[in-house]
Amino acid sequence: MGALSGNITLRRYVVQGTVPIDWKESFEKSVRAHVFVPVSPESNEEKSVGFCSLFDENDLDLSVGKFYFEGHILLSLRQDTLKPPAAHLKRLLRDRQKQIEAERGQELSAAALRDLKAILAGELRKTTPPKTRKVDLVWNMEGGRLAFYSHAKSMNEALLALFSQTFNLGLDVEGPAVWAKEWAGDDGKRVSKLKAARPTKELLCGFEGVRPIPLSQQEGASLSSVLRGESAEGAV
Amino acid sequence: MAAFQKGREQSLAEQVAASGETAVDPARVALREDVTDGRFLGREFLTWLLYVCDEENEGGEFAGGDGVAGFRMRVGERAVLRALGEATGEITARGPATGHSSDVRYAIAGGLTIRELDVLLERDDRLWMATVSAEHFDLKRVKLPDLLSEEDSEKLSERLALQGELVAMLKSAFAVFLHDRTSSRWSKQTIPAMREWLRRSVQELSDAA
Repeated sequence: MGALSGNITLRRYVVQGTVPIDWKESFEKSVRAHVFVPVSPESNEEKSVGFCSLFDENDLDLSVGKFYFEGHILLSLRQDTLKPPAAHLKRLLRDRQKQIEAERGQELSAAALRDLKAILAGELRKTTPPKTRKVDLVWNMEGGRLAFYSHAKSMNEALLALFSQTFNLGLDVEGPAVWAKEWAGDDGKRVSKLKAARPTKELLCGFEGVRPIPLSQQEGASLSSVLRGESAEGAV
Repeated sequence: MAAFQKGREQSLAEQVAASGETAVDPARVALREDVTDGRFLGREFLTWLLYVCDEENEGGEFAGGDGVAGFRMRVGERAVLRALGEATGEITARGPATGHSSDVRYAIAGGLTIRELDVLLERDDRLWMATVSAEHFDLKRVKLPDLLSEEDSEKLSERLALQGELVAMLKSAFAVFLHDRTSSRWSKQTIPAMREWLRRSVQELSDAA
């Protein structure tokens, strides 16, 4: 599932800022600087995130020729998580604790148990395969739009951070507000109408008289008064 | 101000009262969030779509414009509805005719609005399917028309172009909605017509019961 095949899950962003004239050179450098680096089993790192090729998650040698295609920058965000399974670690710890306590003839202290757990976790990291997650991104450079093929909060947060670090450009979610702003453009009338628009009472409190309103009268009236009050004040 | 009793920790309510701050009205907070960045336009758009695809424009016919060719939109098999505020329940309607479901209309008449909607978009012989969310217009379960290209690089171009067309069609429908929503037509014609549309469905529902 992603840019290349299958069904699509998509969040769209507006790219904020101007692409530099020498973008090919600078983007290649910065993409290479933020390429994915695998998590080392020797370290204590749990997660690693960076760019990889959209066509192959193991291709980390990224040149412009590989990530630029017909006006689009095509990349994937790869995130590896290396975390030994907690239940397995717990079981292993219990077994090893019993074994050591039997050998020594005395109970292990809390500090010794903590140390043992860290040693076992380190050992397990060497045999646990990392969990890999890859999400495609397609940046239409001319249109200033970026499509990210996931709605997952963690991956979207990772994208926002990595994108600004890499390209020195910002991203804004392309939602109703952006579309409304584009629709209004420089038309003063449209801009002021949009600015004055407030939620429709019926689509907030229900259509009175059509059916009994499920909210208590008090709650419904409260919402209405909030709406009227804030519309009048223009405070929201 | 609440009196402090020795040996007893103050409750949160007492601490708030002691601080002199007033309690926040959850309805006001929810409404402010709804108005922030025009979020309400998303849920009102999807609710309007359900109505328009059923009643007006000969069942969801859109003329297009601004480089977008005309298309037809229909409502798919799933709709998610929710009232304002985080604490409110969610209703998910599934079935071959969600747009015609009296239950969905009954929920809208009660103040729930569409938060996610399955839509089908048709142009010539090509069909796009997608689930649109109200908050960011996120898309999921997108099915594009069959690709005509055979080369891999051409397939990618065509796939990207088809995604672009889908977004352009939705944007075109949103522009039609905004024209209506920001004019006096909205309160004078659209909302009364929606009321009548809902009233008929609710009447049918009670007649059937």
